[in-house]
Amino acid sequence: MVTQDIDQSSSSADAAAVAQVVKLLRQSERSAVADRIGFLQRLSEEDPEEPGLNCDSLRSLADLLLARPQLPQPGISTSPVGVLLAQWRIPPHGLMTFEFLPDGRIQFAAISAPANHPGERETVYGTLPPNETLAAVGLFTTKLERS
Amino acid sequence: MTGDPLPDQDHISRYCRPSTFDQGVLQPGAFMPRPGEDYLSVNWLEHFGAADIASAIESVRPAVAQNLSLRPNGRFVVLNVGEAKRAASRDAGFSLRIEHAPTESDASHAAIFGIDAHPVMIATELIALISAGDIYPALD
Repeated sequence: MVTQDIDQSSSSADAAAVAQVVKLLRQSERSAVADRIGFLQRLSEEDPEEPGLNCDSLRSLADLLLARPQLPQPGISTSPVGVLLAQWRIPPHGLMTFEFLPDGRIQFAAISAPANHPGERETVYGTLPPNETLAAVGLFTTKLERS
Repeated sequence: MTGDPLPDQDHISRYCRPSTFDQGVLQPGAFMPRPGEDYLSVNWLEHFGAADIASAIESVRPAVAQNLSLRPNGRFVVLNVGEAKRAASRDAGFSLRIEHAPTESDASHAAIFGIDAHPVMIATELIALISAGDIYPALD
C-alpha cells in the first residue's frame, strides 16, 4: 500500500492524517484529487451537516488512484458517515462508482448506459477487495483509460 | 397517507448537500442512506398540486428547511417515481418501494425503501437518470 507509512492510528476524521494523504497525492501528480479532498475536509470543518472524512476509506481511495495513474480524475464525494466515493463518467453514456469501505473492500457498480436508454447494456456490481474489483470492472476501466 | 405507494407517473425530489456535487456534476454521496436508516428521504412533488415541477420545488424548499439547513450550494434533484423503480430492477432486479411518509413538519415527505440491497448500484442507476434539467438550486 502506498499510504502504509501514514499514521494508521485513527479511523475517524483526523486532520493530520488527511493532510498527509493530500500531500502524497499532490507529490504523485494527483493534484486535482488532492484539491478535492482538501475541499471536502474544509467543508466538514465549516458545516456541521457535512461529514468528516473516514481516514481508512481515504487511504483506500488514495492507494487505488496512486496504483492506477492512468485512471482519469474521478468525481469524489462522501457518504453521510464520511466514507469516500469515486465516480467516473464513461463515454458515451456510462457511469462507474466505487465506495471505499473502511474494511478495505470496494462496493462498486458500473453501467454502460442509463436504464431508460434503449437497447442492450452492460452492468456489473458487487463488493470485493480492490484488485478483484478492478478485474470485475475491467471492461469499463479499459474504456476509461483509453478515453 | 403514510405508507401509500406513490404513483409511477409522479415525481420526487431529494436535497443534495454541497459536497455531493463535484465540478457541478452530481455524485453518488447524494443517494447514500444515513446510518441506521434503510430508506432515503425525499419529497413528493405532486403533493403540492403545483402547475409544474419548478413551482413544486418552490414549495419543497420551506418544507425541507424545517429539518435541514439548506445551503446556497446545495441542490434539489428530481426523479420520476416509475423510472427510478424500473432503473433499480432492470438488470439487478432490486425492488424499490417509494411511499408517502408524511411527518409533523413536512406533509410531502416520502421515502425510498430497498436502497440497502446494494446502495452503490442503486445510486449509480438513479444518478444516470438525472440530467441538467432535473437539478434545481436549494435556495432561491
